[in-house]
Amino acid sequence: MRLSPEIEVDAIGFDFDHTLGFDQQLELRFMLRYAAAAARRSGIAVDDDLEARAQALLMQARAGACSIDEAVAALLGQFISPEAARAESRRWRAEVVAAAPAWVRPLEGMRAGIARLEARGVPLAILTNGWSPLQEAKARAVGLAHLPILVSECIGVRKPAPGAFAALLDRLGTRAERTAYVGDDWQIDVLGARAAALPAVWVPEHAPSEEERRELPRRVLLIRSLEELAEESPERAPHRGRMMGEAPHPLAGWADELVCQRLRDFEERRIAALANPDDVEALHHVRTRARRLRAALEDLHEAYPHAGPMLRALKRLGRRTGAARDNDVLLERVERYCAAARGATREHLERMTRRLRQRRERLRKRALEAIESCLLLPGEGADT
Amino acid sequence: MRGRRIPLALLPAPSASVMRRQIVRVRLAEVLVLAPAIDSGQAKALHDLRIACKRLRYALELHRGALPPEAERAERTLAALQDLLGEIHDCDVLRSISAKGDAGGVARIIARDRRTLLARARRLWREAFGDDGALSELAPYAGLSSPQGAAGAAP
Repeated sequence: MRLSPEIEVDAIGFDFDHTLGFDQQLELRFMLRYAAAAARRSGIAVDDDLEARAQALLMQARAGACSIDEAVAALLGQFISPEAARAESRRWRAEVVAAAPAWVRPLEGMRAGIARLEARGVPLAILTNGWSPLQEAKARAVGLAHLPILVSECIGVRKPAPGAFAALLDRLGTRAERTAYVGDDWQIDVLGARAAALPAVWVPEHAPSEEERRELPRRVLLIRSLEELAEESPERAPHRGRMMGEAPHPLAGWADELVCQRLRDFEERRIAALANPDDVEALHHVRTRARRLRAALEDLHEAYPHAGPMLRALKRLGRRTGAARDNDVLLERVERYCAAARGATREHLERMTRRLRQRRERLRKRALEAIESCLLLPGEGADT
Repeated sequence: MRGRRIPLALLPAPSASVMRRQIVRVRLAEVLVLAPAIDSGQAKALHDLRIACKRLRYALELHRGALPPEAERAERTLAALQDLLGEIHDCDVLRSISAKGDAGGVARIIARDRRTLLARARRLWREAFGDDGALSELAPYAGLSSPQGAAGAAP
């Protein structure tokens, strides 16, 4: 199925929340209800910050920093004992799942869009961050119980990690470049899918600005509702870097595949380094993967002409991570020399060791910041 | 040192295999052009050679499986060469930052280390470009005549 002049797919994956349906803050509302009840039972007054704290805990759970049970128990733990909070959090879980059919609503145009895609025989699946069985209950609530659903809690990996998209491809049995991923979140859905080499379809909750529309990266399609997705219209959203009617380079597909292979490798290492900020080797791996990606972009430049922003971002990243790595390597050498030296030479080497150690934390912090902000898109739009 | 762009427009019929061979040809040629660095031992020239080795190695790695079997041996040789050249570079950086306040003791340690590393790099280079050396065997695939006649330390 052709979604745009440059996107032709065999299957489509969907995000759930705010793409297929919305739950009217079901989890938050129930957390507040449970907290208020726990406070009442304990005779503790609820302060004005309760909602903000609940929201912060939910955000932590959604970012994978803790489980949903831990988030709920932490909120309730302000009013009741930890054991009671854990028991209440289990009750909360069951009640939220049971309440899903009453709270979850389909997004406008979702049912018509999905029905049309199914009528055309396009395999569909849902890949969603969240916990089970709530996400399944939400899908059921909007009439999508028949679609395969992959929930991050069950597959053990969350978007935007490439592993989440790899699980989707496994489930659909399709190749990355022939599988579109549809979502509302720019960072998690669109950038995540593109980093895993899937074409992305962006259904933003709020209309994007003119500039955002103009700057849409390659193989990203912007739509207003899922109904649009099912309408085959090759005129839609042409590639910004290429004029309509201009043929792509005959080796563009080959080059794209090679670059995406490097990009996936880079992205996996980037995520691993951010998950283990104290692991020096993880930082080193990001640097070497960035260099490999950069070399591939330089080698394939003519067949892959939109590499400019990515190359610039990689260069910046290389400077930051390179400085941290060089410092570590020099420190190791100086320490080795120092162990074998005597007298004034040893004193000089000890001074150098101290200087290099002092610099180490600062450089590592800067490198991690650079790694965190280095979000790359295949083709263009390196967003750092 | 900037890597050269791989000119596709000049290729008679662009195909993945032609492009692949062209990439290896350009990257190997870059290494050969910088061969005199091995003899001179000059810091900047050796650093550029290290970058060129790295570019060639990454290209071989990216197309691994689609290249002739001798490419894998070349990859390993380039990795070893790159490591040695990297250590020499570390010595050069260290020498520059340790100069202030050093009575000569640190400079002597670094110089001794550097000499050893350079001797090893020269030996590896000679082996790589010897009769059945890893990089000599790669040259015909890249469409280059025997690199043994190249300038510099290639034997």
